[in-house]
Amino acid sequence: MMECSAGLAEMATTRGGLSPRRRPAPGRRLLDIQDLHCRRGDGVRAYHVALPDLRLATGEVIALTGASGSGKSTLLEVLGLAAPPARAGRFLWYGGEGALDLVALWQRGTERRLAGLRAARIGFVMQTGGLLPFLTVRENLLINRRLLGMPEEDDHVALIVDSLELGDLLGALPAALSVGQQQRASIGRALAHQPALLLADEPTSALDPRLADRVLSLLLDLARRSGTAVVLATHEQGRVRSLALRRFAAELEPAADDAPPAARFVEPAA
Amino acid sequence: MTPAAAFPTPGLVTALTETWRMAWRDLVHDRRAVLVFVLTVAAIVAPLLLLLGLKNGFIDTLRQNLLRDPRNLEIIVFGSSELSRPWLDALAAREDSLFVVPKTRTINASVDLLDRERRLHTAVEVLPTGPGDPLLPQALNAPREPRQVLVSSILAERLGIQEGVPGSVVAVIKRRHNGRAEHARVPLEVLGIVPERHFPRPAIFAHPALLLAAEDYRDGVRHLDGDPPIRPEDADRRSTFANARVYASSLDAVAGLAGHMRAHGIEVRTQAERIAAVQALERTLSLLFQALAGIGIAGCVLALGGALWVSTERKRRAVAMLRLFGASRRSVAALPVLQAVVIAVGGLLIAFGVFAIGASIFNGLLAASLGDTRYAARLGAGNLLAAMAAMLLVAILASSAAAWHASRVAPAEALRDP
Repeated sequence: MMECSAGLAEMATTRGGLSPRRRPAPGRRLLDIQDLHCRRGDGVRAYHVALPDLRLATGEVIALTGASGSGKSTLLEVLGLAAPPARAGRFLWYGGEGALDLVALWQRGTERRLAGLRAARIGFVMQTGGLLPFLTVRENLLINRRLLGMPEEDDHVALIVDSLELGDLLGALPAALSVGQQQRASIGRALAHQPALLLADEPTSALDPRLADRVLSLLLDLARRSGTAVVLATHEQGRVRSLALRRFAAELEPAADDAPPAARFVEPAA
Repeated sequence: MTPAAAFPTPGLVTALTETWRMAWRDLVHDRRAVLVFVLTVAAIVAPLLLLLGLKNGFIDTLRQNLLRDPRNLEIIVFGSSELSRPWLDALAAREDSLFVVPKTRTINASVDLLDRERRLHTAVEVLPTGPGDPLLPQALNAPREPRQVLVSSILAERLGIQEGVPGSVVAVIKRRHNGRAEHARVPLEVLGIVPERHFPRPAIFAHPALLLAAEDYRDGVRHLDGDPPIRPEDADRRSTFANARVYASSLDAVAGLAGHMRAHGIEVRTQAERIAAVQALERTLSLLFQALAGIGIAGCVLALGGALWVSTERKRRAVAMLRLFGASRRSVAALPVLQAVVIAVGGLLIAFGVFAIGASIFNGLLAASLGDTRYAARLGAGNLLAAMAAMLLVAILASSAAAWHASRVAPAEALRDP
């Protein structure tokens, strides 16, 4: 962690200037990661997850694949700035004009800054329960925008409502929706504030396979039209292969005497 | 450029509006449980309000009974003193005094009266009076002229004077002058009759100048044969008086005013024991109420606090999601606080309603048995404000644990399996 240069963070600080409403130009750098290590749990139950090398461009879609428990969610927490990395060689966020050194931000304990970046630039789709139960679908859809002080209505929101066929559901509470409808509303909620990065954790595994195909293609299509990069965590390797997505697969390292169990997410050789 | 400017941070107003909106929508979503909390608060607070109202009504009734007899406000100057006019003026100007009028020596405070039938009524008490005399009914004006008097109803009956009919009476003032018995006759006009419940003894209420003239006559320093006539200003010429009628502005002011007069070497007597008894009862009842209110409020804090803690634990995932979506620690901590305030205020409003119904029933029952229109249960604006403030305090205390709990929820929890 110490090898991270403080200079990058300084540069970012002085350049600053992210706008949440700017649609990222496709194909530019978004994330630059080397030797990212994450830890789940403590003591004997500790589990290590490593991401040796990931460069993600704006609008790009990648998949993290691995069996349940292989550490996909742990990695997503760190990529989503919801948990600190254990250590990292490089963990840079490119947005707007400069690079932000996320390791340095975590080290400085500037949680509010990270929370601000997370809220403005990242969207989350959970496996289930990605909606606030006491808000209507419409209010859930707009929650990120409202918390950011963004206007409630624009073309982007209209596009989301239209693409995800949420028009008839806007007044309903989440409890009144089917699982598939809930998941569509969740995807809409995660994309409504035009994030640069969408993190989706098993977004379709609670759905039956035919519905899952449809919901996943809606997600990817909408992300592509929004210019949003996607990190899709899933155990369904077949679905990833059929979509021909760039893939990072979990390689499990059996527990040794002196090391806790660990997994590395690497791109399989072509 | 500050680092914070690099990210869009919503304004304070947006954050407050959104927090309030979340708190309110969650309450509406959870309305059945919320109704139970509101009713719990009302069930604790309503009996306390009724108890406070009854205490107020009871003490007020006792105080009004004391006040109904203004003699309970009187500070009686015992024996004869040397009271200077400036000192009496200063006494009258004090906040805690209601009415001060100078008086003659007790021995000179009575006259003989001759009625129209020429019957003699000996040694009738004469009280100096003036505007604002608490012994007089409000409808009756104090005499402005030394030859005008008011008579008590018992005396009016003896003199054969009827209400509403102009009456007259002659005062006969005797003295020994140069070794000879002399007397003077002063015709008086009766302006009105003081009802028995205001003064239950035979007496006349006169302008102070009349009493002072009679005293001067007895002392041999003036004539009363009409030359010079008795003028209202005669009283102003006197610089010292033997006595005074003094009334305090309230029951609670009696002791202080009496103490002030004692400090000037004047021997005084009051109805201190009757007043002190009511004050002691009031203190005891207030203490009792405070103890019960303390227990009730503590119970309210624990019940509401526990409910909010459980509710926050149940909504842990929603809290984590709000944090993940950028809501600050403070925002999510404010959720249970705002909800507690809504619940407490709702409970208090229902308790006010229950109090209003209960008080009107009590008042109806007691009006029937007491036969008057006094309140049996009553709350003042101060009580209502204090109740509101107490409930806000309850809400904040009760929600503090839940607020701390909510603020500890990590955003990452939203990403773990529900």
